[in-house]
Amino acid sequence: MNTLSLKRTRIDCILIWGHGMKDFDYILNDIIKNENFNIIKIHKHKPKNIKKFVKEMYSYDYAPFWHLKAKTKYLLKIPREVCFVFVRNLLPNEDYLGENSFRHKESLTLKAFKEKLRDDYNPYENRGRTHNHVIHATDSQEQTEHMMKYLGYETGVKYFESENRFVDLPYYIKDYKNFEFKLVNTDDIFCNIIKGKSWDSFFSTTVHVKESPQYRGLSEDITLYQEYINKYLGGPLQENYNVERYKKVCEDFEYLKEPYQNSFVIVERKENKYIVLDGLHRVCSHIYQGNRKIKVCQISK
Amino acid sequence: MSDIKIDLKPLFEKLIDKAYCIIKLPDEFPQYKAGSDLDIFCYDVEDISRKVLKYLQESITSNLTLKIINMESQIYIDVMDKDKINFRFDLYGALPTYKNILIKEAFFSSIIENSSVIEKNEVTVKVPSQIDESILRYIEYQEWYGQNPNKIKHIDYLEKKIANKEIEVNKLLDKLYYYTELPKVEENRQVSSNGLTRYLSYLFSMFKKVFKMVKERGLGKTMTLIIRKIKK
Repeated sequence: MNTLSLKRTRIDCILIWGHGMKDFDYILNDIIKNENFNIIKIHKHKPKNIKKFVKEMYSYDYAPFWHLKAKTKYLLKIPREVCFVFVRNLLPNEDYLGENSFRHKESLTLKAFKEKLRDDYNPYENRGRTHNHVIHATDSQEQTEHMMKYLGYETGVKYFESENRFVDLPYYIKDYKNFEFKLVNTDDIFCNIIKGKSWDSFFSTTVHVKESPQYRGLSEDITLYQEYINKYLGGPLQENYNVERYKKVCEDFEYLKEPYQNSFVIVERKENKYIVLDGLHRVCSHIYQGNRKIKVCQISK
Repeated sequence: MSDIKIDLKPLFEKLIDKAYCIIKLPDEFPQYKAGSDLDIFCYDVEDISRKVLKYLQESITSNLTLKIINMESQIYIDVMDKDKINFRFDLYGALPTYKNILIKEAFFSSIIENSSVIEKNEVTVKVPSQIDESILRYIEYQEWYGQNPNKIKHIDYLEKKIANKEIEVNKLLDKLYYYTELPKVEENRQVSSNGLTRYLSYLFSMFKKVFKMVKERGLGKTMTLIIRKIKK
């Protein structure tokens, strides 16, 4: 077998169609548990026109759309809400599959996982799995690039590249040139939290860290944070937020301990407040442990 | 007087396997004067910055902060004593641009590749070879002598090294000629080939001069100066 690029990672997308959204939590949990994939971004979307959307999603497929038309007919009747789950495929195990004009490059790891998800969540009829697939997965990184651009990220998968390596910055913090590392009082640390009725109808407001669902989840009841995630994940919350992992990290957490000496909480200064841009879980855990000061990285352009 | 002192010895012990080179290593190193800096050439500025930050972050207190300014191929890491720079790491990922001398880009990697490992006051560091150090000093003299006559010290250094036969002049000149060149002096002013256009341009410039003078010195003084010039 001619297996290519065994070690190079790539960015893929698993698209959960509308009729799969009832199992969204389970599907997401299966992706989290799979050690070959790291979730980078979760993006829920309500297409205006499902027919156009389906065509758009398949426009970069290896097979021409006329060939897929019959196969995707069921998608025209599904609920008008989908979710893009962008993952770093750590073991692409790419190979060329198919014959003649249908020959294409595909990740064998993702292909196997995709089939497993379809086995578990596709609708069944007469004890057989239907071809009404609840998920679609990209064959190549070029298809992911196309999906990113569809969602408005003009730089495509490059959007996921971090801008520097001297401090651990998440990919979504861009264009900052000045970094100040300082010790500040935790009383001055604030964060933006989401309020509103749902993932697609919300607003953000600035509160002290201790009033955030993340902190209240630790100090009062973890279900407060779970409900917050359930409500806004895929909308304003697009990272892989997970209560179980949060609890586990907090158990033996020590801020900036080896090998995380460069993993500072990233803040921006606004109106005499330090607003957390990245690292809210770490701030909450640090304060919950009784610390009254914290080293932060204040960024500015 | 600042009592902040960064212990540079453990840091450079951590950097020993990295490709870097300290330029113009001060005699007092690893001690330093408040407000001084250390120029470091390295292939991967972000990797070295990460190591430096990892080491320095333990020193952060209410009085000591760190500042990093990222300019792509050059990064400043400043140890700040309140609002004053206590010490600056000036990391270069490429040669700085000089106005008065042209240098081939490859000289940068040549400096790092030919660097020598030395012991300076019980600290192991990488510094340029004698020849590269001499070329760098010559470059600095060539670039800044016009503005800072004190840079003659670099020529004194070279004369001393040559007199003491610490460097081979032929090798020094070979490398200097290979990697550097003096910029050509060019006249960039554009002049029209048409005589009438040149004359109109001259009249226009004279009119501008007169207008400026009237504005600055008044009409009476301007007229006096014009008459004096015509009489000449």
